[in-house]
Amino acid sequence: MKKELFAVALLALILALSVLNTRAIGSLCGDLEALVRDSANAAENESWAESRQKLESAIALWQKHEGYTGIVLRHTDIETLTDDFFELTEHIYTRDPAATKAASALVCEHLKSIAKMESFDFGSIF
Amino acid sequence: MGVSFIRTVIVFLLLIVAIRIMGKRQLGELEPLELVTAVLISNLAAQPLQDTGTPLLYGIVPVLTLLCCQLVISGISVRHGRFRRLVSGKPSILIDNGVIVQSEMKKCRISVDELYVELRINGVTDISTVRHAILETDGTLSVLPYAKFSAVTPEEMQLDAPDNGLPVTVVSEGRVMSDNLKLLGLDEAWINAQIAQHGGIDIKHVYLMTVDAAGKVYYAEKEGKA
Repeated sequence: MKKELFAVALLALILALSVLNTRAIGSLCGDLEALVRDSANAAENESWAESRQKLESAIALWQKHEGYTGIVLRHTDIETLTDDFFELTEHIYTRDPAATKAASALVCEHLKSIAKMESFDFGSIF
Repeated sequence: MGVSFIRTVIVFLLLIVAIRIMGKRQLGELEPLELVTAVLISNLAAQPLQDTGTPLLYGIVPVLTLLCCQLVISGISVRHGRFRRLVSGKPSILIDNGVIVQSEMKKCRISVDELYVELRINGVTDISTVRHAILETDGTLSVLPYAKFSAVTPEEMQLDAPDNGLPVTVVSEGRVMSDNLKLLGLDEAWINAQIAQHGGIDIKHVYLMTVDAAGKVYYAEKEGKA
């Protein structure tokens, strides 16, 4: 009976950690998306310094969670998003509004897709 | 992580249902629950090992989930017969009082040839000697012959059969098994005496030496040392 109780407790713990992880990933992706959108808006208004600063904050936040994301996300997703971030940086540095807009949209889509993959919905489970 | 957890639970339950539908002949001496766990665990554990881009957690979470599901379901099965029958099924009587139960054979999708194979594996060549043949929940066939065809026991013959117990290894490939020797209350001097008695010279030349409770010694020397 002890073993079964331990198994039930472990299942509950895994489920609880999974829910926490889903929330944490969702929150991280949401925060990153907000920063990238701010950066894109600033770029649209030709405020390149602000755009760069917002994007650098986003990159810093992404890199700060490297240890965590390395454990819970597929490494291909991490590498793709990191590449997208640096591609966006390049466009902001070269002050190319159209490319910045497109690269920002790409980063946002990747962030949404990562959050969706970890969320408990019908599509991601099946 | 959460998605892996839910996916694992769904696949686990689905496989149990699938294996139950496939029937006992697919099992190969494992209960459905054990088979599902064994099949899934090996594949799940291999994935993060083969692909270093996949976090180890993607293997650990499903394996732990499976292990817990298996423990919980087997725990409930032990306590509740109805649940056990639902998960593992119930034994099928293929031969009842010497008569082949054809409906049960069809239900288990077992042909007469396959029944004969199983009977031969059980040492039976004449089907008329079988009183009961039961296909167990793990896919093995238990064969119970009529009493007149059963092997005679020493008790039935009113013979006094000595029970020598389990032989214990005292020397294995030239090494003395000290713990076993102590357990039997013997020492190396006794071993040397036995070696000399069997025409040997040295413990190092002994491949295997066992002794049972009655003191009967089995002695085998290493090849080329005799």
